[in-house]
Amino acid sequence: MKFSYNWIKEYINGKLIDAKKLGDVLMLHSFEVEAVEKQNKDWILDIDVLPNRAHDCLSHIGIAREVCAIEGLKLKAPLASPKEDKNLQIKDVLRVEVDQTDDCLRYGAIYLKDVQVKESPLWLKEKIKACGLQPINNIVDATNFVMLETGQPLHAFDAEKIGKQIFVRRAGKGEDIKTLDKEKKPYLLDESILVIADLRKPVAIAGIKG
Amino acid sequence: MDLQELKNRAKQEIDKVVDLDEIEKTFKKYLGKKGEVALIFDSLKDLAIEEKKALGQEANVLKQEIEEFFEQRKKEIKNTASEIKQTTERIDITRPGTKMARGHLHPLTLVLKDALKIFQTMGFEIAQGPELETEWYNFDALNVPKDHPARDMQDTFWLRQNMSTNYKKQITNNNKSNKLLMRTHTSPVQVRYMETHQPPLRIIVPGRVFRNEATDAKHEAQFYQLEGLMVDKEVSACNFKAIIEEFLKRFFKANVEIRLRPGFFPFTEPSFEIDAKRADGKWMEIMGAGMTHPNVFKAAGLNVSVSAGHGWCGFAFGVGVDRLALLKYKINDIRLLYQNDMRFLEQF
Repeated sequence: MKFSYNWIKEYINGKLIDAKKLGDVLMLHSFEVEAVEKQNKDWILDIDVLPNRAHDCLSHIGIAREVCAIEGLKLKAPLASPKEDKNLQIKDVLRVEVDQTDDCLRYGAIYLKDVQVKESPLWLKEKIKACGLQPINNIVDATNFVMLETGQPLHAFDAEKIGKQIFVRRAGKGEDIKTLDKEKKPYLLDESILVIADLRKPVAIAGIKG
Repeated sequence: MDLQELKNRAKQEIDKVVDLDEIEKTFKKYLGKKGEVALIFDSLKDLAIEEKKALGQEANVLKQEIEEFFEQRKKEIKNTASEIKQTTERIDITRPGTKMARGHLHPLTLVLKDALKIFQTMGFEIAQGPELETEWYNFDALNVPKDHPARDMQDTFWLRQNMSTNYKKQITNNNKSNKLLMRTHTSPVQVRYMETHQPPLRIIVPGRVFRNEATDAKHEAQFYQLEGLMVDKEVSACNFKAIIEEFLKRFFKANVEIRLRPGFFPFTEPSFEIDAKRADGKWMEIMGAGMTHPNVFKAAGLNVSVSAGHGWCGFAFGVGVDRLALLKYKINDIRLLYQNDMRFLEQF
């Protein structure tokens, strides 16, 4: 995965060693660093996180945490502070049902209102691009940002289109799904694939594509 | 008829002849059935008895003399011929002969032979296993469960599952997954060996492995690995490091600087990757290793009680033989080893 040096730095209290040294330090303590390259005012580190550390290190906070442990620095992880509407009850607007807890231990959802879909601000677009992704719009970019930041894949759905219910279930034989990207052909699904669905049809392949 | 004249003429003509074909012709001319001597004998019948007698005797003498000329000349010709032959076609026994083209070993064979010899002197026994493996030995027994992302670390050539049941029986093991694949590493031999041998043990496993991936200067779709496994009551990563350093020292006939980096293999815990320093000062990964995961011992049916000194423990490593060859002979492209270009091979 590609990491932005400047982005990692944001989560660290104290002075961080330079990008080249960071590459060497990670190499000897944690992961193979395949490349450290300058990109504009940033450095991009291509870090090969192996499956045993994917759960905690495939994210900028994860790598920052790792670096802090090696270098004896303090982690400065961001806290989410959403503005809550006390008049609104979540169960009135959204319900999540997980078919089998074997497939999905926990599915979290949040309902956002008064959202305007538009172009992302420059700082966000730059972060998304630094990690090798394409900026699309503020909503998609925000979900990708959080994924790159925390390692948690997430997806935004249009509340007007999917209704009040989200299901986490296995796909049925013969079901298919059309994804956001420009591909014309829908993907064919079967029982081996976990999907996120509304009342009628799958709207995302769980954790992968929507 | 002047016999004396005939004799001189024949003698002269015979002396001029230089090869054996020509001498046959000349022989016919004088001594053939219709040759000149025969003509003399023919002419006798018209003569009186006295004359016949005298001339007949002379003619006989003449015939004998001419025959002798021929014999002599033939000998001379033969002698000169062999003399010529001896001077022109003489064998010079002091001259060095043309060298016979001799076969020679492939660089990979050289490296493998060398490496095996070194490990054997350190008490490692050579073990082998099939290149066509089952899912159980290649993955499940090595602590790589079916849906584990670690399976993606090694792109696998899976086989169509319709081979003869006989062979299947030979390589599979009751209810364990017998889906067939080309082994992606030599590690399955660890389990195969431990199923039939009791520790303490030290084995070294040379063999070809297969990966379903694109080739470049550092990667081939099939290459050689040298797997090592040491199991005993008290084996640590220190033992591993010492053995590998000793191996590299003997293999490269020089002190080779190595470093251990953290790595991950499902069948070892902890795992490390070993880099060797190249002549140009850059590090090159040459092997993966680690302390054998207890689940591997379990899969092989060994006791792995955790308390020190009771259960078995050990280390395993897998050397890229091709990488060793690249380092040893300063070759810059792994693919050269498999292209069979004579200009390349003849250098070894």
